[in-house]
Amino acid sequence: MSTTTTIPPRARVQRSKEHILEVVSDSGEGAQKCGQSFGAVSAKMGNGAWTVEIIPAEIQPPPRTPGSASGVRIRIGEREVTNWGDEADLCVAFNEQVLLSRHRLGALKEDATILVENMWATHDDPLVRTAWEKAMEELSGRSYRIVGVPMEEQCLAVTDNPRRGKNMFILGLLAWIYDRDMERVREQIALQFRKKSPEVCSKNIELMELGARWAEANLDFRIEVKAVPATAPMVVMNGNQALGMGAMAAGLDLCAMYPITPATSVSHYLGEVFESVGGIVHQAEDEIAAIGAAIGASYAGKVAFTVTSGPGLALKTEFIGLAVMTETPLVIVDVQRGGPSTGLPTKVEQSDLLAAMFGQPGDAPKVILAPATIEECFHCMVTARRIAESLRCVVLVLSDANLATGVQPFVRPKLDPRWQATPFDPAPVPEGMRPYEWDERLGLSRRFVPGQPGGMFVATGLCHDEGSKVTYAPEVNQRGCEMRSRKIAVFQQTLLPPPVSGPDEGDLLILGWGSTKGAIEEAAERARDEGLKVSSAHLSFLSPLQPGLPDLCRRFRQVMTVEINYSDRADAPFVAAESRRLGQLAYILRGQLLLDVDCWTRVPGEPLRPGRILEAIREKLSKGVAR
Amino acid sequence: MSTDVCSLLGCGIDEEHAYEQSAYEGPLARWCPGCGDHMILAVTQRLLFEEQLRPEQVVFVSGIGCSSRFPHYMKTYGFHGIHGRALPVATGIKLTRPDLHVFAVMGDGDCCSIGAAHWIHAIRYNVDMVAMLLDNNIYGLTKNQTSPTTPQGHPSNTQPRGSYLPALNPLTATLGVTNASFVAQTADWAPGHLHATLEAAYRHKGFAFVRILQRCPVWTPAVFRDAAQDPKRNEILVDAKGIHDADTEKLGGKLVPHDPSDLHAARRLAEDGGAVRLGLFYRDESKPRYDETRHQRAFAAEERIRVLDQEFDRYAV
Amino acid sequence: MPSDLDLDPILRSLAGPIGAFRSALALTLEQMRGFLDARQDGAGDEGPREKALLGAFAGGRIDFERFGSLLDRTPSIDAFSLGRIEDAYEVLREIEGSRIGEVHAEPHGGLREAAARALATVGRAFGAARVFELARTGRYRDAEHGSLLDSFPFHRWSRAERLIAPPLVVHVEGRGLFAEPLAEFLDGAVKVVLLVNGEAPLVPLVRLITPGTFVLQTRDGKGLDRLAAWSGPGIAAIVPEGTALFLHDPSLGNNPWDRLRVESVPEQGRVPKGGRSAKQEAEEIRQLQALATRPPEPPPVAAAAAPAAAAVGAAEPADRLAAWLLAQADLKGTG
Repeated sequence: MSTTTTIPPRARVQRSKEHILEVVSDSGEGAQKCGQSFGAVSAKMGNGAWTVEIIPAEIQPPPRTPGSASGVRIRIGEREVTNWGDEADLCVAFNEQVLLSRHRLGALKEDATILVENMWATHDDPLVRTAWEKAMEELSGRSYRIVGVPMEEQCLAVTDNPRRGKNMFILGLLAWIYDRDMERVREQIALQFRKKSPEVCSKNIELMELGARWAEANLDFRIEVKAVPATAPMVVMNGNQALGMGAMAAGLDLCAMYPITPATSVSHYLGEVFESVGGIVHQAEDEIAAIGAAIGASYAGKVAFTVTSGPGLALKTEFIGLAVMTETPLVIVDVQRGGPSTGLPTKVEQSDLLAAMFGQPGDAPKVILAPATIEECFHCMVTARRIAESLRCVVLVLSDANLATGVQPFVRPKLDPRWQATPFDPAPVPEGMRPYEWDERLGLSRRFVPGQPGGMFVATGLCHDEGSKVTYAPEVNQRGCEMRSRKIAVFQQTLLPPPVSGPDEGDLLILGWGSTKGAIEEAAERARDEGLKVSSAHLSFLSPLQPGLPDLCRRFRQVMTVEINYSDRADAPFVAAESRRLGQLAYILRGQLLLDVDCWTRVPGEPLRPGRILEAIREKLSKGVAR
Repeated sequence: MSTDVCSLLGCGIDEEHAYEQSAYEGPLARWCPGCGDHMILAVTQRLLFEEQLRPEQVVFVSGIGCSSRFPHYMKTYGFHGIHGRALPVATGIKLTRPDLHVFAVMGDGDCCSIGAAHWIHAIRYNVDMVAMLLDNNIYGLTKNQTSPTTPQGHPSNTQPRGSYLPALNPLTATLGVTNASFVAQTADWAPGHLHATLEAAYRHKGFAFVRILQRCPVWTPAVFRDAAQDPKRNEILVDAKGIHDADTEKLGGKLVPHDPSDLHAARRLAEDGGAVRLGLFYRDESKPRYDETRHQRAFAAEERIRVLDQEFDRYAV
Repeated sequence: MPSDLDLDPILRSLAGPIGAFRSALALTLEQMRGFLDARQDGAGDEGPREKALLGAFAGGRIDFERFGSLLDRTPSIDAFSLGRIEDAYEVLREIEGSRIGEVHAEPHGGLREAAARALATVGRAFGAARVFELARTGRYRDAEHGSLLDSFPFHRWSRAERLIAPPLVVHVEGRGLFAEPLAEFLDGAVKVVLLVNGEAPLVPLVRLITPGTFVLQTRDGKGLDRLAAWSGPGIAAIVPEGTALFLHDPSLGNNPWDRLRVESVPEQGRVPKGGRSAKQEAEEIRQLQALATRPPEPPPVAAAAAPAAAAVGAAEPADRLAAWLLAQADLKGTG
């Protein structure tokens, strides 16, 4: 057992503008807790930070297998960090098998530093020892710097169950390497275990301090990423928490949902606190009932939303059409995951755009917006509510698994009581006014709500006239469709062109939407550093599209979308111009703008790495075709 | 369902206004002549009139089917939604607006087939509303397809050699669901009984499930012919705590004493026997109500902001 | 002793009705605030308000002014009406910030007046809501509606207002306590709780027992939760020791003896307490016992008349419907 009496080696301090580290363990060993705490402390110290979970595909995968790898990647920087980056600089692994999984996925830099539990090398079980040796052989193909750490052996000094305590030991070790403020680390642990007994909390702090002492005594390197404490007050949370907070800040009354990964945690968070502001989380019997209840509440004059993911969105289809038809304001949050079908439940994808836009049989115009950052997950709920009520329409918010689990600090929003305003004017309806008395020019009509004297009408999904009377007259159906479409066109006229990141003309314009913004902008910036004339623009509104796109696109020789959904490579076998299937935004832009928009899309089940986007940019500009 | 909550606004307007029956009557119903729905509509309008409900405080929610045209013929608020989904919408309304009187009107295909999942869960939620199942044993609007309650052997366009399976019994199904609190059966040909049943359902605090046997003169004229033409064949459940209608009781038919607090007896009586049984099978107002359990008081904006700011403190850096 | 009784547990028992009133108050306030907010910036100045309402996500993406001018369809209102709504809003804010419904009755017969005053004061909330409704629809007239915000007496409350009214807690002297005048206020869902101080009559509330009124005499607040849960009007007295304890709960049945639960009736002393004569005291105890006692013979079942019999013979459903409806109408008319 090592003791503190050894003279600490003089540690070499490596200074860096940013650093990516990963903590991986078997599922259930707490690497996520460790990494999230580290990320939160870093953010609190003023580093830019982006934390993203590494999630095993199964709930209880067998331990010590590559499939069991569970953990966190944290990218910290001097400046704001907007995405999870490329390969990791440092990796802490609780066993060599989970380390292998990261190695095989290409998640680690060529010269990455690896800290791995070394008890497996000398394990009693010869099979384990063999597995270790094989793994080391496989890893030796790269120039990793591998440091063995006696994690369990050390932890035994504090706890009888070292398997449960290793994560805090590692938190301490990382805190020493990155020179974190130890008082903040202790505070973070206290926050983490606030629902447990004080003994549990102090034991974990003890383990953390043990890790820091061990690192000081045994490691010869430290990493410095300068932290500039923010002047404005900041908050740190993940995208689903931000959506939940945003829903409450936006004055919503009801969240009707059915459990579905990765959207459910929005309601976990709301379930804890929504009632303390008079809100209700209604877990319905299925996805269909969830949106039905939300529509019922909205029809009754409350502010309601439903939250789901791809498969749930599919089930809600008919009700979405009904909300469009009855012009019932409704916010739907879709936290996108990999598809089709059950697909990749825990992994990111941006594959629901076309389903959101065109998924309902019949013409069902609606507003679709996409937050690009965790901060936007919060603020977009306020905007979505206002649009839904102003237009009596459905607003679909497309988030994704990357935003859902990513943790990022952002400026603490200032809450405005006007966001809580009741959604309609309950004054008695003037004699003779009808429930769909559309303003011919704008397609808008006044909303009547039960309880309002004089407003009695029957909302119906059948074709109806201004009085909501069912009729199948040809001109009535034409007019109803026109009016529901017109208000979206009117709304489009209030939108502003998307800003361009980089020069506003050049060889290549990258267009993206949603959570890829940070990675795209970083890749484009790196491309510009290489002398390439690349800019990017990010669309926050997908339906209707923001104005100015044709002009913008014409200022670049080529335009390409970058998305996390499937498209055929242009040079793939048998793929012809007529058959090439495109990225979803590319389809829309080509159809809407009549421009030759190319796409580079991938569905790796993980966020796009800026380095991969950069390669695609290089290739596009050298060949004119991105592979 | 008689709590008459109201926000301050609107409480003072049109006070002591007396409503005529016509205040509840919408445009002329366009069901087929002889359709049982006409009677159900008239009796429902009568009930609202007697209760003097403010028409703007009443919402009729329906799905799709002949019966689901019901809201169009009322002069209250209405929500004519999609097939099978009346109950989720009604639940959303009542959950957030307890001051409204909510009625869900469904057909047998609507409630017992495509909407069966919602039916089961609505019983369990026990949200305060009247759920009317207008059961004519057939899909009428889409012209003669077998429904779950179509009698075995009855031919239809989809099962021309007769329905293959025994009919689903909505009463035993409802009584079998945990937290059922009000289950009754009545019929369009017994208007007094229908009225008494709907009145009891309206007054019940909780999910009041009323199966109304409804004649379809076009597709299933025979299914209730005997019961309607010869009431002596029917059995009427009677009890001091049950539903009373002197007319129906006098029409003949066997009077079967049944204490509606006895769930086991209710299930036994609900099982198919030879006779049509009308009456209150089960009632228990002590069952927990989801709308009551989940009810939230309204918060002023500043109050909400204060709580949210505290919430933000948890994430503060 | 009642004087030792803390008000807080009593208010806690009444949390339901108090909460319902406060909830309605908050909703109304929010609606008025929204109404005023939407009109305070004035025409042509939609920018800042729209900007706030759309939130930060809209920043740089939505042209607030254009959004406001195209999509904000708030109808304007004249300055006079707007001023009245602002006054009404202030009144509601004041009531929201106050402790609702506690009042002290003057000794010697001031009970009715104290209750009337307290109800008229809290009634200003209804007055304010009415001013809002009247003013925004252009129907407000100073001469007719000017007093609504100062005092809004109970006799002018509508049925719906009487149903949402908050409970009233009155501190009152036991001596000379005659609660009968309060019958005037026992309507809708109004609930009154009397905190009786000092010596009191034995059954001061017995004359208020009517089929639909909840009446309770309790020493420790037991039963107040049931009063709170009752959907109709009710009165309770927290009485000193040596007073009758009973509960009359209309939801318990159709007969007085089903509804009335008498816990204890003390021996009538030779010297009557609380300002009643011995005869009055005896009369009131007899009344309580009479109500609580089931008559020796079961009451005959009232056979319902059958005016609808005409419906039976009719053959066609439509005829039968008509006959039945007619019968119903007749019944209404004659009964």
